[in-house]
This record gives sequence, structure tokens and C-alpha cells, in this order.
Amino acid sequence: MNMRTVKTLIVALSMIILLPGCWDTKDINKQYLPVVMGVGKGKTEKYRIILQIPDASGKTQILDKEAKSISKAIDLIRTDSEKSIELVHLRLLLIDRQVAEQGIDNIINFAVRANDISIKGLVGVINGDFEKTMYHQISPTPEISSYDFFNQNAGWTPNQSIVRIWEAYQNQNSYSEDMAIPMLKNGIRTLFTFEGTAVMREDRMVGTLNQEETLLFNLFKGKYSGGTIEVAQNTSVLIEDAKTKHSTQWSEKGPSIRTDVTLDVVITESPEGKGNAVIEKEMKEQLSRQFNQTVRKIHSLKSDVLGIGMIFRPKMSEEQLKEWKTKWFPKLEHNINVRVNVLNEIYFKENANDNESQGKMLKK
Amino acid sequence: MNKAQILTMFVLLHLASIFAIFPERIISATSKGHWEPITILFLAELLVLWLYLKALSQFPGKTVVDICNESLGKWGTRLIVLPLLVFLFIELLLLMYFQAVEIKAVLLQRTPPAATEALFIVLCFYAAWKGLGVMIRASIGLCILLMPFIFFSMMISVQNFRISYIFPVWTSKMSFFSNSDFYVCTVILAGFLFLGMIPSKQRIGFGNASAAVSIIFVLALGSVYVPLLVFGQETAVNFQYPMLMASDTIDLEWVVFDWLPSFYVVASSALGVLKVSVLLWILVSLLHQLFMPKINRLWVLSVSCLSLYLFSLWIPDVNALNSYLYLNSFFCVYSVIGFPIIVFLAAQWQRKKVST
Amino acid sequence: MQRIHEQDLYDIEKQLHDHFKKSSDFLNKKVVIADQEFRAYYMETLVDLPTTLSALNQAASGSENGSFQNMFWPFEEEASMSLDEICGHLLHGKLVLFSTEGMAAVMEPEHTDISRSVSAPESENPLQSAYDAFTEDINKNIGLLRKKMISDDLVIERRETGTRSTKKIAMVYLEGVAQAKVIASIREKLEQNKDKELTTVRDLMCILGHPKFSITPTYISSELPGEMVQNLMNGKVVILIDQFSFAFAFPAIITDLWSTTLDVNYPYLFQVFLRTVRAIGALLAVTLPGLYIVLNSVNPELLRIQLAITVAKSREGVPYPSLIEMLLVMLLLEMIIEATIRLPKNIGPTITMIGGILLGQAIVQAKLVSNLLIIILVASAIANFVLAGYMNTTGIRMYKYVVMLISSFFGILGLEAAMIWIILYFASLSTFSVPYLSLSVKGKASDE
Repeated sequence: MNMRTVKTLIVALSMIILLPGCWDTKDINKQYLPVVMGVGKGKTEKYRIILQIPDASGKTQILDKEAKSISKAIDLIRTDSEKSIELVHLRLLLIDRQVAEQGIDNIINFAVRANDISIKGLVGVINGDFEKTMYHQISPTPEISSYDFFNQNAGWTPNQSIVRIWEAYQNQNSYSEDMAIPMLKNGIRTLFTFEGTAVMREDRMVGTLNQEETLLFNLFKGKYSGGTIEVAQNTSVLIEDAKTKHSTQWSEKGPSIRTDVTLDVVITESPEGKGNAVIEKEMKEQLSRQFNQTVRKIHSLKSDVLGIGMIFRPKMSEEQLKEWKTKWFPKLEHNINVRVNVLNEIYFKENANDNESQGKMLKK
Repeated sequence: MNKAQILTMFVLLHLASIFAIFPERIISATSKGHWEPITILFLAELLVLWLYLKALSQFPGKTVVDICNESLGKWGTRLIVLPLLVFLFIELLLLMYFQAVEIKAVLLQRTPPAATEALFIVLCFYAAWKGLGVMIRASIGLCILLMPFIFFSMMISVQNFRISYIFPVWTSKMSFFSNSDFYVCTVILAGFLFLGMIPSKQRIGFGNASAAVSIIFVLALGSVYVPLLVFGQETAVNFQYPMLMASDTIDLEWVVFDWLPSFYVVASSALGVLKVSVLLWILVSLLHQLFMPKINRLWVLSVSCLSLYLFSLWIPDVNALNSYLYLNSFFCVYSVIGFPIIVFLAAQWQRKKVST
Repeated sequence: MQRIHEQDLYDIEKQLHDHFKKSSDFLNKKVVIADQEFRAYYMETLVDLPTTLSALNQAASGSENGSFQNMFWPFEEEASMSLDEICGHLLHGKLVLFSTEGMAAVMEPEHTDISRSVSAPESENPLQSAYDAFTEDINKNIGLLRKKMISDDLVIERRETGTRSTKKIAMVYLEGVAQAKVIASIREKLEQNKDKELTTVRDLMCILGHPKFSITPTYISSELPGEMVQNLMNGKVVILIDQFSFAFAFPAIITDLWSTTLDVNYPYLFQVFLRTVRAIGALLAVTLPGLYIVLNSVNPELLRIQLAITVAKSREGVPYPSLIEMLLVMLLLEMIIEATIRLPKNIGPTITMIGGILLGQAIVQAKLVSNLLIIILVASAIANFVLAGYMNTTGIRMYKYVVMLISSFFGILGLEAAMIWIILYFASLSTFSVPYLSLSVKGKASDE
């Protein structure tokens, strides 16, 4: 055979390579793409997995199975469904409170190890009825409203906390931090109600913070914008800016830290017409008290959710770091001072009513 | 083939390893002060590069093999080059297997690695067949294509940095010297070997080369510190692909695509193809020139490609990969540090012989 | 006028008759010029005899007391009187005169007017530059070039190739700007292959030694002398062939894919903008169909969730997998594109409208393909034609299929592998030792 026949033969035979087929090709309309996964306590088995799958016509499909492990449960769901299940668009991982109290490190490890779950998904703890929350459907765009709830550009407010899966994993393994996971319940007219924050130590849930405490927690961590606080007797202010400064000290007794929080606020409602100085003083007292209360509560739960270990990390050596959570954090002394600065009353002038020299008509 | 292209190829080859096994190994080699092992590695590279380039500049128009041939004779050169060949062969195998595993984990979950590796080896065969000149010329085009992906996957997690995870910064014990993972990282230095085999009169001066090395240094620092700053040492130690996970932590709304780790894998596998092609070309040309000059180069290339493919299918699992990597680090240190020194000495000896 | 021996004259005439007896436009007439009788041999289709005769008579009467031999010297051509040469001259349209006293001459007569006059280009749209285009006659073309570039350094080398049918070629370059190596190698190739026939463009490529299978053409062809002059100034060598109304410039480099030389007629920013748009268009044209398949079947995780759900909905009920869908509709599109070239001008718009309606509406409503596919396809087709030069677009059109095929097997890895492959392929192309991936032909030659 001459070269030409040989070449043609090689080309023809290499077409055989096309025969084994496309392994990964699966058309997009043959897949279910769940967006929310709920991990609850099973009635007969260890885990009960509920998947919420959105649909272009606005309805959500919900699939539900129980098994000893999460992967097995998903496999069982796959067995019974008409299309294949791809977890690649999973964006919200909801864990039942009972499961959270027994330890979530298995769940978080599963989520991070899996190559088809994106670790930028969000984590939440369900505080009410697990089944009712998962089966609750309300909105016309189900594919995004679950995590639009948490989206900083959409439905998030500083009253809520956000934790992503990778942050949970990081805090699980870190020597200097713990996680605080938001708690949800099914809402009446909205998808979810925010119930507070679950404080975790190691990987178990040990306590909760309510909504106001979560706001303070967010302020401390620097995630603010648009949160309102009520001062005594109904004055409401809007926080524009919050700056925190920490001064740390390490003595033989243990670490101590003093935090100065400076809040720039604007007044939104002031029915009593108090002056700005009075409001500042009242707020300062109230907030300092609330902050210190929250810090003591967190401290008593023995969990470093505020991230104080991160602040001390530049000062610690490696051995001290390993013992932070067990030895040094319980000895921490933490003081918070709040300073409030009222910027303005938005559209009102300050106390125009009381100032005689400002072009006012004579008072009655 | 001008200087800009050669330097681009130089940078890209180093980036290939930096995007593959480098961050994972450095993070597991030491727990604090990660910039120290990186700096030491790059200083070593500068030194060795200086020796290598000096030897080349004294004999313009010749490749390192010619220099060695002249001063040490054919058998001497064959002896020196043999460990280098072993290193290249094993390195190619391991790179291919590593890339195949990474691709399987991230992009194509159901495709058997045999098919992915087949695609890989066909591309590398084509590139090595066309020759080093073609690859160098193509490197600018590849750079334009890949640089956006590389910078993108490195920089998007900036929002998630926690600066306090850098600490503790300083380590005085230099414990990493005893850790074998550190020596595995010397494979990133293999990128400069091709400078000695370019068949043209263009020579890179040491100044240009060290500028390129400093760019690579910054990128290497970035590739280790980005996952460190996002996750912290305690967490990052558990990851097989730290930079990949770091690029997945952010939810960017304005990007058209969603699964951002795929950018990282695309960039890393393209760089892997480039490095494998260049190393394959070096392997084949050394074999052809020194051991089998009578056989047609195409046959040597085909046989090497086929054997690489078959061997890479035989690697059973990650543990085998690890043990081969440790084994290869010996050859690696020889090729990267020992070989240029020998070349330099050979060049000096030759000059003395010629001038006397 | 040459004097020939009578016997030779008789032989030659007889051989001429035998040689051309089958062509009925080979005429043999008795003419009278300046009161002398001659026998004229010529091709009727190429020579305008009455005009020639009057010109000859005028020339003859004008010369006073000239000898008989120098009577026709303004028109005469040097020729040896061998049969092959006379036949060659006759085929080229010359007039051969034999006198009764054994004199013979070969004349350059007035030709019949069968060449097109210089007009506007048929297949290109120059904006803001000269509108005259090349015609079939090589001398007119060379004249156009000379008019547009008045320079000492413009060198024009003419030669003829082919044995069974000779063809005139002209090689034009600017001395000092074009690389000497390129000029030398072109010249050498033309010399080497002097006997090959040259009737089509592919024959020219064969003569010049270009690769037979190549995705992008290694030359630039254009109808506009303005563009060719720019190419000359950029260091390229231009080749003109007789009876081809376009010229070829060698060697082509990658920037010719997205830059036409007429861009320099615009302000610099506009030029940069237009070239960027074309380059992005080229990239999109190659990758868009493959990207659709990747996003749809192999790696749907790359899509955002909202888009993923809408795409899934639009594909609901479509029976074929994405690759088959894509191939079907692409084939239809290719047929429409080919058909519109050949349609006469009056039916054209109707057919394109039908094609649009067919592809757009009906095929989507029949649930044969999804509507996202049509969008992608049309975008890709438009992006395709953004490239400069019709030849370049066809190469990209062909490569699209390769990209589609590989990405349907390997997903985004396949897309990337196809891109790497084409970059490597471009890097390996080099015409006349100028690599395809250079940015300009003018620079120093590389030393490989």
C-alpha cells in the first residue's frame, strides 16, 4: 500500500474514537437543578434531605428522602425522579436545629468536599418546623428568592447575619474564630422570617442571639448599613457609619481588649423633640449596656463568634494560637465603649423650634 | 522569535507549575512565614539561571548539548543527561496525571480520564512535532488568551481577605528544609531548561531574565498567599487545590458565567499543555540527538507520546502520585541545580581548552 | 521587415495553414498597404483589421523616402521567423505580414475592444477611498498601480508561465521596503515552476509552494488598487495575473484577518476601534456555537441559575441533543449563505426573506430547535462576516465546526483545546520564511 492509502486508513480509523460517545453530555432540559437543600432529622434514618427545585413557570418542585448519609439520600432522590439531579446550582443549605445541636461538621465537610456543590452557597439553621419551612412556597421567582433573601444587593439587612459554606468550614477548622449561623423560620407572607443567630462552638449549636443582638454583632464585625436602632422613648436613628477600634493588651492573667465603637447616625423619628446632645447621651448609655450584655452572653457560651481571636492573632505565637479557644479566650476581658455622633436630622434643621433667633413667627 | 516571545514563554512555563502543585505543597511544607521558602527557591533560581546563561552566552549559536558534547565528549554528555531524561519523563507523567485528575474533579465528572489524557497528549504531540520555534511564537497568543483567566481567578477573592491570617509571619527555624514537600516545589524551576535549546542566535540577557523571574516571584507569592488570606493556614492545609477553592468563595453578579473555578482549571490545564509540550520536545530532541540519531524524529516522538499515555493510565491513585513526586524530587533537584552547574563548568573548561 | 528566402516563406505559410486550419477565426487576407500587396495572417477575434490598415497606411505615407524595409518600423516587432514564434505571436493577437517579394514582418496592430473598462469594484465596499477597481487586462492593472504610486522604488517584473497556455504574470514590489528574502524566494519559485499551467488561483499557490490544506489563506486578494498600494508600502509583494480582475499580495500575516489597509483612511481612534470590533467578532464567531453546546449540555453549571432555567424551558420538547440541533441549523444557514451569492438580483431578496422566516419563526415553533439557538447562530453568522476579506471568513466558518465537535465531547476543556490548537496552527504557518504570527512584514528577517 502506498502512503496515500495508509493516510486515508489512519484518518478513517481515527473516526472510531468518536464512537465511545460523549460522557458528560446531558442536555440541560433533562436535569433538575435544585437551589435549596434542607438537612433534617429523619424519622427512621439519620438524615432527611429535602430539595427545592425551581421551575420556569414559577412553581417549585420539592423532593424528599431519608437515609443514613446525605449522599445516600440524594442518590435515593435521583433514583425516583424523572430527570437527573445536579447539585451545581445549590445556593442555600438549611439545617434543622436538632441536627445543628448534634454537630454539623459532617454536613459542612460533605459540602466542601463535594465537587458539585459550590462553596459560596449560604448556610442557615431552621428554628421552627423543618418540614413546614421547606415545603413553604410563596414567590413567583423561586429560583432566586431563597438566596436573594441573603443577597447583600437585594434582601439583606444588618438585622440578619450571613454565613457562607466556606466561612463555616473555615471557622470550624480555625483556631481563632467560631461561626454564627442565621436562624430562619417560614414566614407568613414572605418566604422566611429571620429568627436570630445560632452561636456554634466547635460544630454544635450552643446558644442563640436575638435580632437586636445580631445587629450589634454585625456592627462589631463591620457589616453595617441602614440598620435602625430604637432609643428609649421612641427616638429612632439610622446608622450611617460605624467605626471600631480595638486596643489589645496581653498580660499574665490573660488577654484583655477594649473596643471603641463610633457611630455616625442621623435621626429619623424624634417625637419628643429632644436635642441632639441628649439623644447622643441616651444612646451611648443604652448601647454600651447592650453591647456589654451581648459580649458577656457570648462569652458565657464559650464561643468566639465575634472573632476576637483574629484581632489577637498578630500577637500570638503558634502554641498560644492552638490554645486560644480552650485556654486564653475564657480569660478574656472585654470592654466596649460606644460613642454616638448625630450627623443631622436629614431634611430638618436641628431644633429649629426652640431657637428664637431663627426667623420664626412669634410663638403662641 | 524575538526576546519578548522567549520571555513570555519563560513566564508561562513557570506559571504552569505555580498553578498546579505549588501552593498546596508550600502550605503543607510549613505553617508560618510562607514567604521564606518561596524567596529561597527563587534566589536559587536566579543563581542557577545566571550560571546557565553565562555558559550559553560564551558560545553563541550553540545549544547546551553542543557545549557539553565539545567539552565532555559524547559519553560524558550522555551520562550527565541521563538523570535529566528520567526527570523529564516522570515529570511529564505526573503533570499529565495531575491535570487529568483536576479536570475530572472540576469540569468533566463523568468523562474517563483516559479520554481527557488522550486529548492532552494529542495536543502536546502536535505542538512538539511542530517544534520549539512554533511554541515560542505561539506563546504570545496563548498569553493573550490566558492572562485574563489567570488574573481573574487569582484576584476575585480579594474581597474575602482577612489580613490577620498572614500572622504568624516570621519563622526562624526554617523547618521547611527538612520537609520533602519543599523539594517537590523545585519543579517550578524546570521552566528555564528550554532556554538552552533554542536553535537561534537570540540570547536573553541576565537582566531581562531576572525581570521575568521577579514577575514570577510576585505571582508565586500571590498564589500561596491568596488561599492563605482567605482561609487561614488551618483550613487551607486540608485542600487539595487551595487556589481553586479560593476562587470559588465569591459570588460575582456581573460575570456572565457562574461556576468560577472552571476559569482556574481552564487556565491551569492550558499552561499544563504548554509545559508538557516543551518538556516533551526537550526530551525527544535530547533522545534523538544523543542516543538515537539515526531514527526519524517523528518516530521517537510518537513512541514517547504513546508510552507516556499508557504509563499515565497505570497510575492507580493519589498516593502513588505522591510517592512518585517525592521520588522525582531527587531528579528534579539534580536537573534544576546540578545540571546547569555542570554545564557552566563544562563551558569554562571548553573555553580554557580553546584558548590554550 | 525581414527578408526571408522564398522557399522558407512558402514553407512557413503552408505550416501556418496546417497548424491553424481547424480554427475558423484564423484568417488570411490579401491587403494593400502603401500600394504594396501583402498577405496578412491574424486572428479575427483579436485584431481590428480596418483600423490597423488605416494606421499602417498613414504611417507608410508619412515616411518620406524610407526604404521598403523600414516602412513599418513604428509598428514592427522584433521576431525571428520560426514557426513556433510566429504561432505564439498570432495567438497573442499580433498581425503577421508576408509580402510577395519575400519580406515578412510581425506587427502590433489595433486590438479589438474586448476588455472591460475601469469601473467600481463588484465585491468590495470601499468607504472614503478610491473607487476604481482592477480589470482583466494586466497592462491596465499595472498602469493603475503606477498611477497610484509614483515612485522610483516600484519594481515591476513581468514573465510568462505555462506551456500549453501561456499566462502573463507581473510581480510588483517596493525596493527597500519588502524583505529581500521574500522577493528572492518568490522569484525563485516562479522561475522553478515556469512550465506549470496557470489558469486558476490554486495553480498559482501550487507554483509558489503554499500548503495545500490550510485553514486561512496565505495571501490577500483584493480588487482595489488603493489597497494593493498600501500593501506594497507595508512590505508585501503583489502578483498580478492577466485576465484576473484581482491582485494577490504575499505574504499574509495574522493582522490581515482583522485589518484592511483602507482603515488608514480614517482617524486613528476609529481605526483602532474598528479593528478591535473585528477581532472580537472573529473570536465570537469561532466560539459562540461551541459555547452554546458547552453551556447547554456538558457544563451547565457555568450558566447563572435564572438563565439555566429559562434555557431549560426553551429546550423543553426538543427531540435532538444540542450538537445535532446545532449542526442541522448551521447547515441550513450555510446553504442560505451560499445560495445568496448565486442568486440573480431580482430573486435574491425574496429568497433571503423566506430563509429568514423559515429559520427564525417556523423552525422554532415546530419545536425542532430552541429559540436561544437561533439567536446564537445569527450572532455567530454576523460576527463571521465582520472579518476583512471573504477568504478569511470561510476559514473561520470551517473551523467553527471543529470547535463545535470537540466541545461537545469535552466541554469547556474542548473549547479551550480548540483555541490552543488554532493558535499553534497559526504559529506553525510561515510563508516565504515570514511567520504568520508576525505583526508586520517590514521588520528584520528572523534568523532561523
